[in-house]
Amino acid sequence: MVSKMGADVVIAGTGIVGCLIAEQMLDAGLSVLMLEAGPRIDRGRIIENYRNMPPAAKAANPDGPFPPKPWALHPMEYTGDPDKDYLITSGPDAKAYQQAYVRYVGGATWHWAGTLWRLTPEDMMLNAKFGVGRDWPFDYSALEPYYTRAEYAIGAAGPSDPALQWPPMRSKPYMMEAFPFGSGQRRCVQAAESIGLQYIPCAQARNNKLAYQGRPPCSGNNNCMPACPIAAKYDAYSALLRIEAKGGVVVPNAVVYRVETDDKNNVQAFHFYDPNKTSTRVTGKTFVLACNGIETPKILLLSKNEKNPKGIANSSDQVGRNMMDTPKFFALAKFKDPIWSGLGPVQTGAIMSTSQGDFRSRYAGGQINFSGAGSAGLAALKQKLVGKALDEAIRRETACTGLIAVEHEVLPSAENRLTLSDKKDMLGLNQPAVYYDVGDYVRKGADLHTFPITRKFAEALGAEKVIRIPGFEASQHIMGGTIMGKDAKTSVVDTDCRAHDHPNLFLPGGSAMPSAGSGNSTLTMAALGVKAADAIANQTTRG
Amino acid sequence: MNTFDLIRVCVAAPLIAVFGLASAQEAAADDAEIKHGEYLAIASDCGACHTAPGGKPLAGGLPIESPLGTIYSTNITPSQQYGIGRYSLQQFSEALRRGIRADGAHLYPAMPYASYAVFTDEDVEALYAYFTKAVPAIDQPPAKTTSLPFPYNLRFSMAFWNALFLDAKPFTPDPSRATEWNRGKYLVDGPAHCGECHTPRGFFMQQDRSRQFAGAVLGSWHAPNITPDANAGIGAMGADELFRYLKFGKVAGKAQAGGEMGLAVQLSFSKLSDDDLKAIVAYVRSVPPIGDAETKAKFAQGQPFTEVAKFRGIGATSSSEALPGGAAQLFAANCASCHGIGAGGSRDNYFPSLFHNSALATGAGRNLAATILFGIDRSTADGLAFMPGFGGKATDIAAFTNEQVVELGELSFGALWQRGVLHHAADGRASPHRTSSQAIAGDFGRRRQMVSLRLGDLARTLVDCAPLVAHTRLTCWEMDA
Amino acid sequence: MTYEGTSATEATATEDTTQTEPILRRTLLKTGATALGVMVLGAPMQKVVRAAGAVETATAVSVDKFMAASRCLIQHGLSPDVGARMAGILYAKIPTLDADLDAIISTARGKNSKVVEDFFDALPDGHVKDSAHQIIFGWYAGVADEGPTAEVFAYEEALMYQPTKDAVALPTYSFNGPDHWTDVDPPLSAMPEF
Repeated sequence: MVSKMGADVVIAGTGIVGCLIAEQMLDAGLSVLMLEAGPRIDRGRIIENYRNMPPAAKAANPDGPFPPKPWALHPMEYTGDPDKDYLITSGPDAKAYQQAYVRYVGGATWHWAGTLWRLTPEDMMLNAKFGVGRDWPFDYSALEPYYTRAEYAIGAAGPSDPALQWPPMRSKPYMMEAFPFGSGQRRCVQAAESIGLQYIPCAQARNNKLAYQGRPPCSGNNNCMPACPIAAKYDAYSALLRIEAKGGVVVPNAVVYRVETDDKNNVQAFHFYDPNKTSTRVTGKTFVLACNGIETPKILLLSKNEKNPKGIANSSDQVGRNMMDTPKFFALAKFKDPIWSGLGPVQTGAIMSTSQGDFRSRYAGGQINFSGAGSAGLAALKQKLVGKALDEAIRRETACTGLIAVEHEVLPSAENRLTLSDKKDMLGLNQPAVYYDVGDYVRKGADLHTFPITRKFAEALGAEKVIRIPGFEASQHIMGGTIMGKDAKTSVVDTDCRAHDHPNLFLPGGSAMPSAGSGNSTLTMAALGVKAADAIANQTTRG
Repeated sequence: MNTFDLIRVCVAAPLIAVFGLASAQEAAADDAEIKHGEYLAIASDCGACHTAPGGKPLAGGLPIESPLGTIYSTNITPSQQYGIGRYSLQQFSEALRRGIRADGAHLYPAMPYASYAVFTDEDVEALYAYFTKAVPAIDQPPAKTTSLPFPYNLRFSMAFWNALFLDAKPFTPDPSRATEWNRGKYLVDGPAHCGECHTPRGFFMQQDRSRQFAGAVLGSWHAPNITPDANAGIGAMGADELFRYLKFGKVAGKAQAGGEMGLAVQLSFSKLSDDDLKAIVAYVRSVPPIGDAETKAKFAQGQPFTEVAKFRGIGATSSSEALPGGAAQLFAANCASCHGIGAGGSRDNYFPSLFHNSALATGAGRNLAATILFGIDRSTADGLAFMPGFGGKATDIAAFTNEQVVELGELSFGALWQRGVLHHAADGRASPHRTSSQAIAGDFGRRRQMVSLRLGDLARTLVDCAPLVAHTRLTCWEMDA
Repeated sequence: MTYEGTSATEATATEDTTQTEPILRRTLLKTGATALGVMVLGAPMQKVVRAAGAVETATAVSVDKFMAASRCLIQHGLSPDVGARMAGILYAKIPTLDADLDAIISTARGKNSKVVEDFFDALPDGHVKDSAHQIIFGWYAGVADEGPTAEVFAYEEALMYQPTKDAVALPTYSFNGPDHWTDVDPPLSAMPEF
């Protein structure tokens, strides 16, 4: 039985993790209720919103097509002013934790790049191998089947040649071949090879010449972000349509603000507000918070009660701590001849081997990828050119500029912490605050390791100039806030993302990851979601 | 024994060992006959009906909505218990060409035996060889079997229909015509059974030969006029273009196959030999042209989209408010990402133009509405041609209301197209089954007469006109208005 | 080809029907020089439209004059619908615009100009040249200013995406089918026509 009041499995969050779990529960015969803080939106509306934006706003505010509702705010253009920002960040790398996510039905996979890196075995054993960070409580081979199931659930296009796979340890092939490179990317392959590195295709959640799940194949519409206009890229919204067809109930504009526990510390209910602050109590057998790595810890902290004075699931005091991302720096590369970077899908390849090595006992590794810098129109207009000179400048600067992005692993630190700020939203809920310092581990990694390689790579590509943009940026890979571990004293969730403190509460997703790696985190989050789904289905059918 | 005999024996010896007593030449001839039968089965597109979606090949079970009820295709694998494993050649021939099962019962003309009646004996033998010797036997019954309500369960009533209308005989070539033309006529009348869809139906739902290939409605789709008329038909399409249409499912800048025809191209036409395709083309382009009120070729209709400046940048960025630009902005939001903001399609025509495109001009917009709702999914040697549906399924990436489909149709053609027809074509959605009856109920209500088939009273009766619908196969016996 | 329908502001440049084609038509575009030549010879001004929200003392918006000046400054296909919207916005924004347009046109005519390079340097500094830059900016960027809250009147028809349209898909619009980017590597010299 499912109603607005309850179901077997109650899931807060309609992003990729929530949807993978929801669909698996429905297939297992369980009822599912999904609560989403924000509204629904049509794909076509997002696209028109984007086209209607002034060009300057597109760069400054990439989530402009998703205007946040006052009851479900998400980060917009970062001002640094705590009175204006929803997510208030501080610390030496405050800018690098200004995350971007979408509190809409479908979540942040509306705007994700669709990149599907897996962790490597060493990524999961930082402490055992390099004496830093935390180890995962299981190894790559235990996670591998879930990686595979997640890939098949969303449709992954990746290389069939093991020499190009990352890592080449797969139980099943990709169901679609890797995307072919454009001319710019092909030059990256040659350039990397000339400096002894390998530029490999990245696996992508994007249909490659197949209509997987009834979605069209990618045709290079050149705006994976803010949303794929044709649904060639997987987004959770496409799964939600199936979920509803299978009987799942999705309630938008439902802001979960409290997790209610009983005297045995089982979760009894979620409470949510609608936009009028009317509260509804939702019961169920098993509960899932899959709201992303900021909103999930926020709700846990908001829900503190007598039995859980530090917050729900927080006897370890680790909720909100160990906030991680993949801090990145950009380098603009200017070329004499056209390189036409960034054609086709937004990220097609990268150098990943720079994320691995013994140096990790001393400093961070990172991935190096090359993409388009976008249209040079505004820059050329700024030069007050006219006529042919203007057209030629636009063409030349677009064709001859590339953007190199270098993303690093960051270590989990108790000081990188999400807390409840004093600022409250219209529902009276505290806005989240994050203190963030990427640490010398990352700064040294950038200065000693990845930037020198980046410069060599750019030179091998034929760049005349490489301009590193100072500081680090956020990559929107939100991890660590409900960290996984065997020991309930030092971690929040167990190997199934089940809260140590509450046997029927699951916190799957990026927030459970004990290490970040240098690759985009979504596939690992999704794999954890599938793993949690197995455990949820087991205990809910039994219970 | 001369050298050649020696060689023949050396080559044949292993074959003899395999085939035992069968002679080597017989064995080779068997192989050739089976291959020929397989080719004919592809040309006849048996799999389109006899293979259920997700089901085993030729094992039946595909539901076909008919005015008489749901007809399920049968297992035609050589299963002894559930298929045609016990059929003799004669029984196979009777089923194929006269619509009579091995147990003597009549088949409903959902099976196009009236067309297959032209098969030559030689070709029937080849088909028989293929079906009985090469098709893997699937020893499972179809999920459901046909069981129509009274009086349609009285199969022998088909005998009367057959007596009146089953007039085709095994094909004999017309000596006054070229070989290619004869081959084309055989393929078109028989295996490819084009008339089953493209020829309008007469009083008793037989093909109206006087209007051969003049076009007919099939539920949500319209099988167009394929006579050589320059405006109403495909006269403006060259022979080479028609060849490419059949082989690849599209002619850049003119036409592409969707719905049933898309499937027919994928499963059948794209796999025929070039010579056979040319023969089909030669015959089709030779039939009498049949025109209508149309004064402009289908390939020349429609106009580019030029309205974007009327709504670009207008209106607040919103999640929920309706797009202020109406149908024009609906087009931009949902269609233009592939078909171009000018509606001219992509440069390589992978995404076709939406004007000067005969598909949109066909059937008073019926095919436009059907394409919007159900999309396109067609694979040929050229690759995959795919368009998602916009409301044909609950899981489509976007869903339009009927009104929105109609508005998009009007946007394409201004006031030229009848609102009513678009409305009714759009009525059937959610499932092809519902597609058919609702669409027909709306569109044909005024022209169709509800009648029932009464024994001995055929002269005054008509059958309720609702189409036969396979999961994508639709046939409608439309009364010619 | 014309679309049968009404538009809020009809800008008719009746002397040059090719310029009624939006720049998105892939065919039929004449070169700018010809259009410039035709326009400069002084077609009568057909229409005057009141600017949206204009007060009684504001200058009446002359879309024809605006389009004429635009064609002096830019030798590409210009959509009259976009021009009408931009004219309304700029007339409200720039008090001297009407006179500036006259100055642009007369300078161009005075130099017998075929292309903008023939006369642009001769434009008087100050508000005339500023207006000229503003007009160019508007046609190219599809907005009236560089700020993040500028009013948008063009995106698909904004010219700044046209010089690379043979290689770079306009974001959200694919110009070809799957894998089309694999073969794309045109030289800088192959400036597309638009």
